[in-house]
Formats: sequence, C-alpha cells, structure tokens
Amino acid sequence: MAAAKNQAATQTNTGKPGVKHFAKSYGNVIIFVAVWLYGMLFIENFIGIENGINIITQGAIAAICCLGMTFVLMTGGIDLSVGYLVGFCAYIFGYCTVMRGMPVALAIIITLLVGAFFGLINGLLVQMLKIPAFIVTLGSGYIIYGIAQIFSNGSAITNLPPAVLAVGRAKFFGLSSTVWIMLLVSVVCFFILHKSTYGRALTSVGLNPAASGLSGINASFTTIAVYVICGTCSALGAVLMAARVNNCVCSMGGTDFTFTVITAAVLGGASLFGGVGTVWGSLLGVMTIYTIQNILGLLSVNYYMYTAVQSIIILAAIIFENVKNRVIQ
Amino acid sequence: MAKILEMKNITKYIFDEYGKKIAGTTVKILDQVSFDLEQGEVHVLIGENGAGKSTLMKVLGGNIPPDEGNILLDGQPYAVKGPKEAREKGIAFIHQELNLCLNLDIAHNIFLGREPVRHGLIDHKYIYKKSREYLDEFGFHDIDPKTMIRDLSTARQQVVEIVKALSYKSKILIMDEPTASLTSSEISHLFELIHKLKSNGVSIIYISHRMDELKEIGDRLTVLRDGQSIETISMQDFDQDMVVRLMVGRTISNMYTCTHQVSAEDVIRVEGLKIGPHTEPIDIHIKKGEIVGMGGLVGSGRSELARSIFGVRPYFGGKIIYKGNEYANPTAMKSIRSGIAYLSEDRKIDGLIIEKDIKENISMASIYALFPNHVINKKREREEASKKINELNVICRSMDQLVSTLSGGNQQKVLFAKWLESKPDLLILDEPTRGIDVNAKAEIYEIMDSIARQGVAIMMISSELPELIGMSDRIYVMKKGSISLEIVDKAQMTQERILASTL
Repeated sequence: MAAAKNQAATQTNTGKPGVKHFAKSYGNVIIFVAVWLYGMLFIENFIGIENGINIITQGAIAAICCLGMTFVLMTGGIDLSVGYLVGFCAYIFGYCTVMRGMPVALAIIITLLVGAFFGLINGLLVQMLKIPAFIVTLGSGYIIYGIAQIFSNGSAITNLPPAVLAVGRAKFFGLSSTVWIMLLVSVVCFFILHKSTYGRALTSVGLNPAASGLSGINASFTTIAVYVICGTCSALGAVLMAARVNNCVCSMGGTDFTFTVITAAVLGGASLFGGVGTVWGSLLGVMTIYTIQNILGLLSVNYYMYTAVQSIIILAAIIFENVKNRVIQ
Repeated sequence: MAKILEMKNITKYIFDEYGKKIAGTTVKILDQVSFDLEQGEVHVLIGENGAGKSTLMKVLGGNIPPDEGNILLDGQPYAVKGPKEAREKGIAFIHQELNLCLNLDIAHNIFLGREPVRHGLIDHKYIYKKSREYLDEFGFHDIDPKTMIRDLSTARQQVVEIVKALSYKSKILIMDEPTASLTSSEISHLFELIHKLKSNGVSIIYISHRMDELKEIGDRLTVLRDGQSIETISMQDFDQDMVVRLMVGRTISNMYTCTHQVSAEDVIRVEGLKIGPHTEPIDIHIKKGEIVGMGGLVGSGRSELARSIFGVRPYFGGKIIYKGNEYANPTAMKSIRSGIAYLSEDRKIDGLIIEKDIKENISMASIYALFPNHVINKKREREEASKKINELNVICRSMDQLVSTLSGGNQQKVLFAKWLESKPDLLILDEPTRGIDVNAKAEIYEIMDSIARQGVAIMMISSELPELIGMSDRIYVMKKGSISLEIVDKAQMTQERILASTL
C-alpha cells in the first residue's frame, strides 16, 4: 500500500513550479494587491500617504497579536482567548500604573507576565491534557473575561501617566511608536520562527508530531511555548492599545479582535491545520484586513457589514486551503 | 459437495485509497489467484505477511474490485459495489479487531444499522426477542442480549460478532486470526461453535498462522505466496514442514553485499527486558560492526522492543547496557545524543515530513547537534545535506525538492540520510526496504553494509526472510513478545527454520 501511494505521489507531483505553485505560495500577495487595486481605482480618498500610514498604524497592534497567533497556528492549535486577554492585560496595566502608581517599566513587565501566565495555562491544558485548543482557549477566554470583570468591577481607568501617553503618541520618521514597536517585534519573531532551531522544531511539530517526537524534538515544550509567546504578544498589544487611547477597560479587544487576528493570519497564508506560516505573510494579512476595514470605512458601510465580510474571508480561506490540500493529495 | 464460492484467476494491481488501479503500474498484489469453497467446509488460507491474503479477502468482501478474473457465488456471477452488498449476499467478515459498539448492548449491536421500526420508533422489544432467538439457536442460553459489549470478554464479543453475521443469513464467514486473543479454553469453545456452523451448512474461510490448530479445525488449506495461489491441499495430507516450504518457496538472490567485519565489543546489551507486563524477558546483544536481524511475525514485539530501547515506549523491567554503562530512562532526545538512531517502519507516518524539503528532513534529527547555539546556519545545513545526498545517491532535482515528490526508494534513502546525519553508533532499522523496488533495495543493502563497515551496530527488523538471511550476521526470532530462537551460524539460517519458530 505504501508503495502504491508513493507512486501516486510521484506521478502527480513531478510538474515544474507554475501558475498553481505561484498562487499557492503568494496567494496572500495576490489578495493584498487586489484589495489595494480596488481601493485605488474605485474609492475616493484612498490613495495617499496619509491614508496608507493610517492603515499601518491602525493595524500595528493587531499585527503584534497576529504574530503571536501565527506561532500557535503553526503547531496546528488556535488561541481564541487573545481578545479577552488583551482586555484584561490593558486593565492590569492601568491598574498598576494609575491605581498603584508603579513605575511604567515595572507595570509593563507585570502585564507581560500576566499575558505569559495565561498563555502557559492554555499551553499546559492543550499539551498535557490533550484537549483540543479551541475548546481550551474558548473556555479560558471567558474565564479571563470573567476575572477581568470582577477585578475591574466593569469600570475603566483613564488618565494614564504622561510618560506613557507621550510614548504612545510619539512619532519617528513619520511613523508612530506603535508601528516601530510592531516592526521590532516582527524582527524578533522572524528570527525565532525562521532562523532558530526552535522555529524549525515548531514547523516540524505542526506538520508531523510523530516524526518530530522520534527525531528528538520536545513536542511538549514546543507546543506550550507557543501559547506563552502568544499570551505575551497579546499583553504587549494591550499595553500599546491602552497607551494609544488613554483608556484601560476590560471590554477592549474581545471576540471581534480575536477574530480579526485569526483572519489576518489565515489570509497571510498560515494554515489552520498547522506547519505553515510566515512572519511577512501574517503582517501582510493584517494589512489586508485593515485595508478592507479602511475601504469599508471610507464607504461608510454599516459596522456589521464589516463583520460579515470578515467571516466570508475566513471561510473562503479555509475552503481554499481544503481544496488546495485535496488537489495536492 | 457443492461449491458455494469459486474465485478464478483473480488479479489485482497495486491500488490507490479508492481501490482503483494506479495508472501505468505493472506491480501485482494478486496474480491469477484461484480459490474455491465448498458448502460446510472450513478452508484455511495461509501465507506470509504481504502474500495477498487480506487483499483477496477485501476483493471477496466488496471493499475493492478485482482488475481481472471472475467470482461465482452459488454458481451465479458475483460482483458487488461495497461491503454492505457483500453482506446482503451472505458474505460476512469477522475482523481480528472486532467491529462492535462498546456502548451498546448485544441486541442493539446485532441490529445495528437495520433497527426494526414500529410506528416510527425503534422496536426495542422485537430487537431483544429476536436477539434472544439468535443466541439460543447457537446454544448461548447464558448470554443476556441486554449485556453491554464493554462488559464482555473478547471471546464473548467474538461470539456476538459471529451471531450478528449469522443473523444476516450469511453463507460464508471470513475469520481473520480468530484465535489471536483467546485463551485455550475459549479456543475450544470457538471450535465447537465452528463445528456447529459447519453442520448448519455455513462455509468458513479461516485465516491463521497457528499451525497446531489448523489440523484440528480445517478441511482444506490453500497457500498464498507473493500474490499467487501456490497449492491447495486436503487437511489429511497436512504436514507442517511442507506447508512452511510452500509458504517460503523463493530462493535467495545475490543482491546482498557483505564486506563488513564484526568486532568483539558489544555496543548494546539488553538484559531481561520485558516489553509488556506479562511477556517473557528478552536478552539480546549487538556488537560493533554487526548486523543483527530480528525475525518474527507482525505483532511479535519487534518494533516494541526497538521503541523501548530508543525511549519512545515504556518497558516493564530489565535493563539496557549501552557502551558498557547502564542506559536508564531513555528518551528520543537522549538516545539521539548518545548515538542511537531508530529508522521507523513507515517513513510517511513517523519517519519523514514529506511536506518539507530534502535538506530539512536530513537535518531534522540533528538540528541541536548541528546548531548548538540554536541559530540555523543555512550554509552548513546545505553542505551537510549535499554530502549525504551524494553519499547515498539520492536521485533528486535539488535538495530544495519536497520529499513527497520523491519515489519510495529515494524517500527511504533520505530517511537513511537523516539518521546517518545524527552519527549513530547503534542503528535500529524497522523494515528498511518496505515498499521499494528491487534496485533501490540492493542500494539500501549496500548502504547498510558500508555503515556496518564503519563500526556501527545495526539491528534490522525485517519480515522478508530472504533479506533477513541475506543481510544478517546473526538472527533473533521473536514470538509473542519474547525471543524464540537465536541463529548464530550463517549456514543454519534457513527460511524454514526461521518461519517455523515464528509460528
């Protein structure tokens, strides 16, 4: 039987890279270009450096969280708690700085640790108890939301320290600090994912956990670590979000945000079935999503229309990937 | 007696997952096989792993269509589209792994998928009444149809499966290794049931390797070998040696290379290792530069032993002494670091990552050794891959080619490359030439010989007797989780001898 399958594989896959191969590898670029072309041709006020920077700035925080999500998706998992964690971490940050008067640096570290901690819990539940990731994180997301509501009593914290607000509003070379931090995070993620042995192990575990285990790769560590990375990225996103809007409330983020982040990663080429994903792809995916949001905004479309469009995108991406896999097999 | 079933000149080429012949192939799994069954007889089907027994039964059971040949059932042409239709025509398959719903009771399993309906609701009363009748008919007055399947012993579950098959008015029962998980008293009960079935006119195709029980239960016996039906004999003429000879048949060709020298030093000693809580302890040792063959049937515990040594499976007592020191609590990571490599049985399932390219597969088991500071050096990786590709003569366009696009033989060479990259001192090979063509096999044998020449100890698990005899310096045969035979002398290695101690 194995021989039979091998022969079949050899016969269908000897074709040279062609149009299909290009569409498969650069589908995310094609979609991005298509969205921009549409915007440039049909939408008033779309063209312009200002609007371009606007899109990037708006997408920067989601991009940081999306990179964290990319790590999780690479192992074949998913993290649905991201949005709630962002809300909770934003409140923690406000609480530390405003209510407790801690130094900003300490507050940031505490916030990141909280994010990492909840990521660790997710990772442990997924890996040690072998519960499907979407169930674990759906549950933990609501638990985090509940804790956040009780802790904050539903209230918001404003009037963050001036230093925080100053950093949040600072611009270097025309780009806001948020964008620069996003670029820094991207470089770090790029290194981890594409240049380190950990990134290599991650792809292996995502594609074939059994073969990875026999090759001496510690699948448990690899899998748990991605959730910690994802939680930390979410916490960082929360700090930046709080600094930008000078408001810390646990309803920030939420399901919509989680959904945006996952859609962006999938649109960027990350596979919901594991093993496939890139840093540049996910960044492109985020920018595609925020460009679509921007276009819908310029068209003054109803907000709920936007949610529907996003759902269609994610379903289409999954269907496309399913078909693609079937064609390859 | 009347012939109830005749299968004539059945040929089946290698097929894809839908049972369709793969375009352009000439490899046959079944080659002009003929088989017939008389009413009320037990016809034994015997052959080595891969001889074609299960493929033949899949053809009969409607799982896959034959490419050539014809089948007559009760004198009528028989062509079915699927297992369901085969069952309706009176052919029932009792699998080795029983197909019962553990959370349903006996009666509901018997009527699974064809529950009688009354006023739009399932008629439970009828199901229990009818099940009671079926059980009584075969003398199982003590079995309550309301018992949950999970509360039954394996033997009783088998009885339920058989009763279920008979409730379909089956004329032919196919039993695949029915006694494999039964105790001796349960076996004698099963045989009583089989005798009863025979007298009721049911015919049975009985697949088994247990020579001692065949004579007791069988009427005739057909030997399959390499996809061909070799001979059908009456059980009165049964002779174990002759049957073994018929099963083996092949001669050993000279495709095996042997230029390596065995040294005196042991690389590994396994002392009293138990691979299961109730198996006999195992003692084996492998020397530097020695190729030790592991013979035995599938399921005899060879892979389990290998995996226990490599550290991806627990063992139940005993110890491993590796390079003179006790090697305790092995894990895959630790084994690789200490120079143990395990080439698994199925390269696509847990050997290679076929969606990745050749170079990443080659470096996969050695990334931490190659890149101790955890930064992947692409140049170094390419150099290493290139060396191994040349060394093992992997035929590919480039090292960036996906492994899925390679032929089976070349995939196997990549798997070897991956494990040689980890610089092993002990190489465990699990079916190293499965599913690859003859030329690639000869190349693999050459590779194995040259590895042994470098002083690596090799443990080779193989179900192909010619390969086992051709390549091994010494052979252990395993049976039911323990060693049943050790052959030290090359002249004593005969297929008959090995096969006899596996059964």
